[in-house]
Amino acid sequence: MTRPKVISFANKSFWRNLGLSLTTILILVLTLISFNVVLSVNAMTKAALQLVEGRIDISLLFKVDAPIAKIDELRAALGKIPKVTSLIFKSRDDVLTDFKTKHAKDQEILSALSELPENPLGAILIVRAASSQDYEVILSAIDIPEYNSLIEQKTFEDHATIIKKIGAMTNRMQKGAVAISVLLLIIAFLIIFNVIKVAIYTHREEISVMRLVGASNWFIRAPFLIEVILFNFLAVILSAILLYGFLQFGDNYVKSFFVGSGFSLMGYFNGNFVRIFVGEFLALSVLGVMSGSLAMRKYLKV
Amino acid sequence: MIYFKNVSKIYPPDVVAVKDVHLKIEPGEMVSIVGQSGAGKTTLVKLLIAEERPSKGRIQIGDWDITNIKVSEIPILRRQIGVIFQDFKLLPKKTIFENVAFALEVCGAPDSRIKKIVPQILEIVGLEKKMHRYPDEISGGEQQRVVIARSLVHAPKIVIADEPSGNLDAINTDEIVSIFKKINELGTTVLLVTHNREMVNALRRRVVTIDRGSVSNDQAEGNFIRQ
Ligand SMILES: Nc1ncnc2c1ncn2[C@@H]1O[C@H](COP(=O)(O)OP(=O)(O)OP(=O)(O)O)[C@@H](O)[C@H]1O
Ligand SMILES: [Mg+2]
Repeated sequence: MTRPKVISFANKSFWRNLGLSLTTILILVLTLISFNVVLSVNAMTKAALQLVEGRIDISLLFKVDAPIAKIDELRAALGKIPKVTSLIFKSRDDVLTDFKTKHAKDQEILSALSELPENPLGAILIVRAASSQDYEVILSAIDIPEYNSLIEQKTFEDHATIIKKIGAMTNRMQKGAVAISVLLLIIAFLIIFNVIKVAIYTHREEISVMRLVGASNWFIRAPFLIEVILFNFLAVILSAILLYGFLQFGDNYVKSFFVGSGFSLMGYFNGNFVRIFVGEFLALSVLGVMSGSLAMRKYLKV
Repeated sequence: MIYFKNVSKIYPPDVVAVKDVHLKIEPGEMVSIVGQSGAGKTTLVKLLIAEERPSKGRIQIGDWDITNIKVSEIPILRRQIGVIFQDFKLLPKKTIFENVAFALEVCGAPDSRIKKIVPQILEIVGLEKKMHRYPDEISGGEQQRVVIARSLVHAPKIVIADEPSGNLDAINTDEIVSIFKKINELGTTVLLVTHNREMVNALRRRVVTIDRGSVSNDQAEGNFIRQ
């Protein structure tokens, strides 16, 4: 079978219904844009969570009068929890030294401190785990009255709410974008169905002649499928151009938000270029071939 | 050989278009098929090219039983049968050359073969000088000859013409008849479905008469029989 000829038939059909062709491509491009938004939000969420998680730890501030033996007991208990990756203990003296270095230039604070009869600061235990989910386990493991009576304050809640907030916000954005993508996919499916229907109609005479003279079913069908794939190809290229155009200036904003972590959307899309765009092309093609085949089954009688 | 073995065709729900047709046509024969409007002639043609399936009986072409032919095999069948229907179905935006070439193109013939074969075939029907015109720039009889030319591109063993003289005048009819004779002399089986009594009588060949779906008369060297 001569491939170039099939493609040239498909190509002619594209130009013959130019208006419909452009509408189809527009819808496909919109679908891809909204899908790329989903991907961007996903990548940014991941980066944001990583950023926050890297900075997360639990600080247990002990009461000034907490007995050392009890504190050691707690440290030993924590050390046995496999999820704990590191334990940093600062004795009351360490904490005082830290405080003094931190405020070395603030004479007022230092003199106020020296007037106190004894060190007013309690010891601190900094607990680190690999992931944010582990903290809940760790916290609940030490949540018993015996230990709670030693502890003045646990500084974890704040981080947890930040993580929850990021999660909730991105979740909402993502749900919206996914809903829009699905809606656009359905529209794309219907529009491709229609494009093929119209193409079959405009070509009905050619098709009936083709049949009569013994053209293979493949030769009759292929131009329509190639047309669909051509649409998808153009749509992916156009959406990629629009995306990179947007990233030219939009990415600076993202970069400044993630300053320090080195995350950028441009970097994300560049790093996953083949996977994202070839993936989108293949996914659309599967959709298009399904929709097109359905239209042909309905309107192209053998 | 074309062999209809007790073939019936019932269009749903209950239109009996062809009824118990038993008919054998040998290779190289030229047969006219006549009969009143609605007798079932076109249905017989459609059964032969597998556009319709028989409700009963068997149809054979040579050794090939096409009664339950697979969809994927239909194109192979149709390349062996040249069909000419009354509504010409020439593509108006293609030239005469392109219309004939189209039949080869869509079957995957290479350009070199198309360039060689198409002018040869247009010469058989006497249109080699007009091959760059469009269908609306030639006469009805000439258009008919283009359709005949197109049906010949695959060098079919069988050519079937359903009402080829439709609305042509007598002179054009003679031309068309002589073309079919020429095709038949080259060894091709020719089936002519027609209403045209002059055409049938001038041929002096086998005439099969169809009446209400059945063969009512089959004469070796027959005349058009008034119903
Ligand atoms: N697709 C169809 N569905 C239902 N009935 C049909 C169909 N095609 C033909 N018929 C009926 O079958 C019968 C035979 O039709 P056919 O076209 O074979 O006749 P014909 O002999 O070719 O007539 P004509 O000389 O007018 O062309 C007619 O009664 C016709 O109405
Ligand atoms: Mg008829």
